[in-house]
Amino acid sequence: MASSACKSCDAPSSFSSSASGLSTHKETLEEIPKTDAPFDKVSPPDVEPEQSLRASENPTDDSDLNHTLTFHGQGGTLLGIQAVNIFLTLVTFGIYLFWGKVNVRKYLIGQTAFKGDRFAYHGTGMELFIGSMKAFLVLGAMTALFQAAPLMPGGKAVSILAFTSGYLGFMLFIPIAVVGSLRYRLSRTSWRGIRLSFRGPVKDYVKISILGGLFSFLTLGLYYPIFHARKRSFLVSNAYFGSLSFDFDGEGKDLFNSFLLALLLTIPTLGFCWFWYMAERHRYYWSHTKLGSSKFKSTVTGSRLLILSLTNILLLIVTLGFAWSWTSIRKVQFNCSNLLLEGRLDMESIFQDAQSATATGEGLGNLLELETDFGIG
Amino acid sequence: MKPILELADSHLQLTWEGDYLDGWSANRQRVGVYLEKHRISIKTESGEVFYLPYQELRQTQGFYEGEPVRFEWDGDTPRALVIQDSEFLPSLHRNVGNKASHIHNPANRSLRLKLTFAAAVSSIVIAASLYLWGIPTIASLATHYVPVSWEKKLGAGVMSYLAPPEKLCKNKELRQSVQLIFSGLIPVNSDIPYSFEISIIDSRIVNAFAAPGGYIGLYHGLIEQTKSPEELAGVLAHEVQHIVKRHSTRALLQQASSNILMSALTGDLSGAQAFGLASADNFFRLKNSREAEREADEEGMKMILEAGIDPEGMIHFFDHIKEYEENLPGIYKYLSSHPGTRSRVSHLNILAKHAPEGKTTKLIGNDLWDKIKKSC
Repeated sequence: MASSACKSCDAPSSFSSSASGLSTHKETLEEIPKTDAPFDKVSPPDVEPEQSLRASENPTDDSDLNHTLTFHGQGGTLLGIQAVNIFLTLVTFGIYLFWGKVNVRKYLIGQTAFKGDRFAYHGTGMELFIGSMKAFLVLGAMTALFQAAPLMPGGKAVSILAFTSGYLGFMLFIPIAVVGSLRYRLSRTSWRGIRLSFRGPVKDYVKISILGGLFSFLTLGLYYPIFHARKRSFLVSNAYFGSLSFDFDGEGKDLFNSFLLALLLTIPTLGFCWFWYMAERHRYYWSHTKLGSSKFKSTVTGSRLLILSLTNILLLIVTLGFAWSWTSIRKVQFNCSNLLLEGRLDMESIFQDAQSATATGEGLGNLLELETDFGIG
Repeated sequence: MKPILELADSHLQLTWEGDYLDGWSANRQRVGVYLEKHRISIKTESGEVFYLPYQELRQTQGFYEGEPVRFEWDGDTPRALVIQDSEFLPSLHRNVGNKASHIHNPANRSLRLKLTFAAAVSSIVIAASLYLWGIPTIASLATHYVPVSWEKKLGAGVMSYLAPPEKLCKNKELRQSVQLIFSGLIPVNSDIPYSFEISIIDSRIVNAFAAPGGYIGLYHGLIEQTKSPEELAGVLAHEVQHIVKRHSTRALLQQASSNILMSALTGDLSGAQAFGLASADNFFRLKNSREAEREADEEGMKMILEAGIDPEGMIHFFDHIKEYEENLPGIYKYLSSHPGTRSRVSHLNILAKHAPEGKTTKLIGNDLWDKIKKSC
C-alpha cells in the first residue's frame, strides 16, 4: 500500500499534478493573473540572499559532521494528552485506547528533531485497533488451546502435547511480534517526508530467537550477550531510512568480558553494576551502527543511566505514578541528548522507498507488552 | 524566522516562509507561502508555483506551542509543507476565516487547556465512581447469576490446591464429630442450594476458609484451639455464611472488573503507576473483605441462634483467639485474614442479646470434645 507515490514519476521535483493524482496545481509565475500573484511583490528574488543561504538546502548544511537529535516535548503537555486519552477511553468503554496510544506516539515522535527537522508519525488509531483485534483473535486461539489442554480427550499425553504446543506458540509469538511491531512503527515514521522501514524476514528472527534462547539456556546464560547482539544486528541491519540502509557490524563476543565482569560483580554491587554494562552495551551497539557512510555515537554513561533510572523510579513512587509523563519525557530526552550521527550524510542519495506494514504485529506486541525500540533507560 | 514581507502588523501578513518536502527526496526546499482567499499558494526557489485549496491540507503538527506547523497532502507518502513561524496559524485564521476551520487555531488553546483539565477531573470522578460503586454493584448483581455448578468447579479447584487429599486429617472420630456439629447448624428444611463439604487440614495453622460452591477448609490448629464444640460451630456458621452470601465469587467478579478498569487507566503507563493503583485496589479490597466478614459474623450468629446453639461459644472463640494470637507469628494468626476482632467481639455480644429465651442444645460434651479435637 505505501509504495512511493513518486516511484512512478521520474521527475520528483517537478510538482506535476499527474504525479500525485490529487488536485495540486502547477502554474508558472507567468500564468498567474496579476491580481492573484502575490509573489510578484517579492520577486525577483523572492527571498533575501542571506536568508536563502541560511535556510535553503545548501551543501554546508548537510555536510556538517555532527548531527544531533533534539527533543522538545514537555511533561505537562504529555500529561494533558494522557488525561484526555483516559477520559475518552473511559467513556468509549476502552475502544479509544488505540487512538490514545497513537496520540502519545505522535506527540513524542513529533517533538523529536534531527538536524533541526522534526520526525513525523503517520500511524492511525483505526489501523492499530484493527491490528490489535486480529492479534487478540490469534492470541485468544492460543490461550484457548492452553485452557483446553487438561480437558482434551486421549489422556495425559494429548494434554501435555496441547500444552507444549500452546507454550511453544507463545514463544514463537514473541519474535514475530517484535519484528511486526518494528516493521509497523518504522513504516509509520518519517523524517523530511522519507519513511523508515524494516525489511528483515520474520522467519530469520524466529530462528535467531529460538536458537539463541536455547543456547543461552544450555550455557546457563553465558551465551546471552552474543544472542542479544545477534538480535540487535538483525533488527538494525534490516532497517532503512528511505532507500538508505542502516548497517550494524557489532559482535556479542566483544561484550563478553564486560558481561562476565558484571555477572561477577552482581552480588557485591547489589546489581548496580548492570547499569554500567547496559551503558557500555548501548555505546558499543551505536558505535557499530551506520547509516550510509555516517556512524552513530552514543555518549551514555553508567552513572548517568543510574541517576536517570533511580530519579525516575523515585518520582513515580512519590507521586503514585502521576509523574509518568515527566519520566517518559526525561527518558526520551536522555536518549536523544546522548546520541549523535557523525560524518557526512548525503541527502541527495536518499529517496523515498516506503514499505507496507500492517498493525497486527504491533497489536501482538502490545498484548504481550513488548518494548521494541532502540532506547535505553 | 523573518517573513518574506515585513508588514507592520503580522495580523495582515499574507506571505510566509516555509520548507517544502516533496515526499520523494530527503532534501527540503525553501518556499514562499501566500495565503489566498480559498487556497494557499506555494512558490519554490526555482520559480514554480502551485496551489492547494485549504480543504486539501491535512494538519499533522503544530498543535502545541513551539511546534512547527506541518501540512500534508496526497496519499500514502504525502508531500508536506512545514512553517516554523508561530504567527502563521493566527494569521491564517484571521485572514481566511472558516475556510480553514479544520486547521488548529492557537486562539483556542486556552479553551483546550480548560477542556483537558475538565477531562482529567471527569476521568478521576468516573474512574472513582466506577470503582467505588459501579463495579461492586455490578459484581453483586452478577453474582446472583453465577450458576452453583460453576462455583462448585471453582471451589473444587481451590480445594485441590489448598487442601489436597494427602494433607487431610484421616481420623474418623474427629471427622464425624465435626460433621455432627456442622449438621446441627443447617435446618432440615433449608433452601440453601449448596451441599457442604468440610475438609480438615493437618496443619498447626489456626485458620479456616470458605471456597465457592460449598467447600469449607478447617485447619487442625484451629480445632485444637476451640474449648467447646459450640466454639467450632461459631467458626463453621461464619464460613457457611461466606459461601451462602457468595462472598468469594463476588470478590472474584469484582477483581476481574477492576483489572479491566485498571488496564484501561494504565494502558500506556509503566509499572510504577500500576503499582500505585494496585495498592489503592488492595486497600479497598481489604475494606470490602471487612464488610464481608461483618456480614458473615452477623448472619453466622443468627444461624447459631436459630439452631439453638449457645451463642457464647462463638463469642468465646473470638475473644480467646485474640489473646492467644498475640504471641504467634503472622502466618498462624486467624486474625491475619479476619481483621478487626476487638470490635467484632463486642458486636457479637450485642447480637447474642437478641437470643430467644430457652434452653440451648449441647452438641458434644466438652470433655469428650477435648479428647477428640487432639486427634487428626
